[in-house]
Amino acid sequence: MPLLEIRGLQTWFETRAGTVKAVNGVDLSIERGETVALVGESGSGKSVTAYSVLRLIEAAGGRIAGGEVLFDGTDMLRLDLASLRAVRGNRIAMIFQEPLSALNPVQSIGTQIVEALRLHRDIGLRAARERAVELLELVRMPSPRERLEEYPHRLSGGMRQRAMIAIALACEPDLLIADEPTTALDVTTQAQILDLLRELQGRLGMAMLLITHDLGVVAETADRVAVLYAGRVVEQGPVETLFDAPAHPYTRGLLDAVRIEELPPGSRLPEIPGMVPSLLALPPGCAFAPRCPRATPACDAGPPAMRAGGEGRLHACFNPWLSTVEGRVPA
Amino acid sequence: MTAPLLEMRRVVKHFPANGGMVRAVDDVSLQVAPGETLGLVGESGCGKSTLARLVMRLFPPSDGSILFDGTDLTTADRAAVAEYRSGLQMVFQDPFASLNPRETIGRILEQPLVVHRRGGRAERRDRVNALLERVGLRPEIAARYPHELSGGQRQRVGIARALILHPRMIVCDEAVSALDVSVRAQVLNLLLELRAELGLAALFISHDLAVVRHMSDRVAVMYLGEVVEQADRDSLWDRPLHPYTRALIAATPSTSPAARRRERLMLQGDLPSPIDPPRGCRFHPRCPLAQPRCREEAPALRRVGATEVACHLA
Amino acid sequence: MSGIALTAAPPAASDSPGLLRRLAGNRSAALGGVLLALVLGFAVVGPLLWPGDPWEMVAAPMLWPGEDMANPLGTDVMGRDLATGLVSGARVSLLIGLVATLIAATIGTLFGALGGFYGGRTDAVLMRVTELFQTVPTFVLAVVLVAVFRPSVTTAVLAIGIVSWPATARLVRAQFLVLRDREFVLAAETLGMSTPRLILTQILPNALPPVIAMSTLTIAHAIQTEAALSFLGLGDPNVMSWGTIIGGGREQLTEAWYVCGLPGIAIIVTVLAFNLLGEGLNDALNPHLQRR
Repeated sequence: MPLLEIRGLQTWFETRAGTVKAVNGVDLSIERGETVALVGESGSGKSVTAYSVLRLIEAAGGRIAGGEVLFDGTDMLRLDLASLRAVRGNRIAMIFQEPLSALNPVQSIGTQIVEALRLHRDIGLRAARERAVELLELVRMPSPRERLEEYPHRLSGGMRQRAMIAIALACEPDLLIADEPTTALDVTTQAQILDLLRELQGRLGMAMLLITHDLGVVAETADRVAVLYAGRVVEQGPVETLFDAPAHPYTRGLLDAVRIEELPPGSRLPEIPGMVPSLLALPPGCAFAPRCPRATPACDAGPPAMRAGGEGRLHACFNPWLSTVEGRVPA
Repeated sequence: MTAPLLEMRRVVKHFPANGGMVRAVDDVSLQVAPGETLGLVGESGCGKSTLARLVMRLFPPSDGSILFDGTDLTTADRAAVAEYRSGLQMVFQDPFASLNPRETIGRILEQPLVVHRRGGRAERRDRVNALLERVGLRPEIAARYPHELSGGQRQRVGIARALILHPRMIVCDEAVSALDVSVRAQVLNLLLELRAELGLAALFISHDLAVVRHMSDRVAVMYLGEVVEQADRDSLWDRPLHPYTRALIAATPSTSPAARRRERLMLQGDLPSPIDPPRGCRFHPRCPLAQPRCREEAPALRRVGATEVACHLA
Repeated sequence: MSGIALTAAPPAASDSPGLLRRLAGNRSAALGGVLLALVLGFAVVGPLLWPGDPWEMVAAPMLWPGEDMANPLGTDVMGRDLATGLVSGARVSLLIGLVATLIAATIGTLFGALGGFYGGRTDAVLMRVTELFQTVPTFVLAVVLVAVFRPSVTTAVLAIGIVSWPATARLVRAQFLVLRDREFVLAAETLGMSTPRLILTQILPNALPPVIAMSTLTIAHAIQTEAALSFLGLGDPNVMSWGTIIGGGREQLTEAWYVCGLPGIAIIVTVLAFNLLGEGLNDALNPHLQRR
């Protein structure tokens, strides 16, 4: 049984202009100890999926319209609030893109870690503070004991993210959801944080759902990847093989667009024509068809179902790139 | 060598901040030749955006001079500055924030022509329509407001606005950072085309070294207000000399298998505060190769082969 | 970018057709609008129904409303027709409210705009002046101003305008401080736009919506202040305003409460109308609320 299994998740937002189908039938599973990246451009529904898992989406004005989110066999969508709270921050923890707004500005780092601990664990104040120091050491915070008394605004961006990771790890979660954890950071700091997340995950054996728009981050961090487009998973599989030979034309287009360093400088970049469709009025067929170089009339008829492509690969496309001749040859 | 179109001579910009002076730009000298693109790369707080704003004369430098086409802007009169402004235009990072939400696209694009008294009403409209078409937008868009457009469309409008006065040079400050990858490629291609077509010089500023390399002839790397390395694009990318440049290249996450096997140079610690930068070489607290000398003595930019580098060890 | 911000960017243009619809959909704004229309209608149509001089003694004193259909709202202690007086009062109140607010908005916008745009020493000086005005109780200052110069409609308008601007100045300054560094303003600057043009075409239109919302509240306050001044006998002796009627009727409050009561109701309705409208405008022009 996978640790987390999302089946047919639909999350909608009611707006004045109509129903925004931000997540429109997402299937995804995560095994224990595994890192799965959920990648997509803005508006693809990747963050909404993550927020839906912890049912944080109601606060953002959304509504889970259908599907199941099975965590360790229990459907998160059917839990009462008390049981849900027992899972949040305890067995599933989350870290956010902007640590400055995710941390409480009027509490010291130490207080926040202690609070996270005592929320789910029967632990004394003194012991909790000792554990907080250990956690800060774990995330390689420089001079951890002194940092307990620091307030978020006094820390650098990298240290804030470390503090947030320490809070998330306080109760040794089975699953860590990381929503664009390095997007607000500089590249050299990003490298440090990604390195830290990889190391911690291996050491603690937790699973990670990594939400990102950056395919480079996916390549360096995740075991498996799911590519989202207009609220649906269009392709998923192991990172290595999927990036070497993408089957879905969208995945391929994305990869070509970011592999800028492989091209002669100043040359024309491969682009995906057009733009993302409005989530208010999705086309009846494949949402990518209007931008797709391989689209046929069949693509407009109905949405393609997810099909197996071997080696744990899945894709939702009527005309995938499949043969090794057509596919990207591994370098 | 031709005379540079833009020349910055020992430019300094300090801002007062609580508890001291932020040394945002410290003794930077750069040149851009006509038709050339200089890439400027660095992380947040390195001073690259301040530099862009200095070049655009949004504020004056604390010291040093900035020359455009031979005219010193720090001492120039109003007429010369107005002339300079039409010759040098800017594309901003956030295409939404950089367009007035209460003006139509047509109005936004026409305004520079009105300000500089170029052409009659009909002529201006023709120019706006022609430019909209050139940047890949339909003329009907002129009647729309910025919030009705997508991010990519807005940035096309931003580019059109920068080009409407026929500048000789454009400054692109993180012009594609706010865009999704699929749209980013479209906008970069547009910039490449327009630059070749119009013979524009450019200062291309970004935190993304791969993008800067793709767009530039020469590249300068900034760290804490200083230029630490400057070279032609290929030398910098293939043979980076400064440890910071090497770390930047190594830290950029990449999807290509070749890049994943690259030498890893992980930096320790965070960017120090620009209010009180470290003594000696400003990079030494994070440098994996630092020697005792680096703590004491600030390295000057010096020529090593085709590269100018500020490092004792290069 | 967080995927939570799903909806398209909020329409920021106040002049888009959506504004009226949004106002109509806002309960307080709609009620305020209806009340204001009633007051305006009264001020416009009233002179046709009850022509004549409000100061003229036309009937027996202290006729109760409905007692004599020639004076449907009755007469005051001097036998002056109350309907004619209330119509005159409506015109005076609206005129003074609008003009005084215009003055307050102009001074406030000027101070706030210059302070917020230039910052530094200019800002410091302008804001100290603003604080000076804010520390003096506004009504006392208005009384002093009107008393020093001769009481007239002009002095009342000026006095009310002069005491009402500091809040607008603070609001405009805060708006300018934020907008000054927005990229579209910088972009306009790099195009070579002159400072006045930059302020007038780029910053001001974006700073105005909350000022408009607040000005409706300023109108309400100005009307109250005028009534209070007139009540104290500091109104224009040649003009019949609501405050004048209340002031004249206060001695006979027990025998003829309606002399004070009717203009009192008129003031309450008018002030309420502007307050509700202001509240509704504030909501309708607030981009954060529009997103919901």
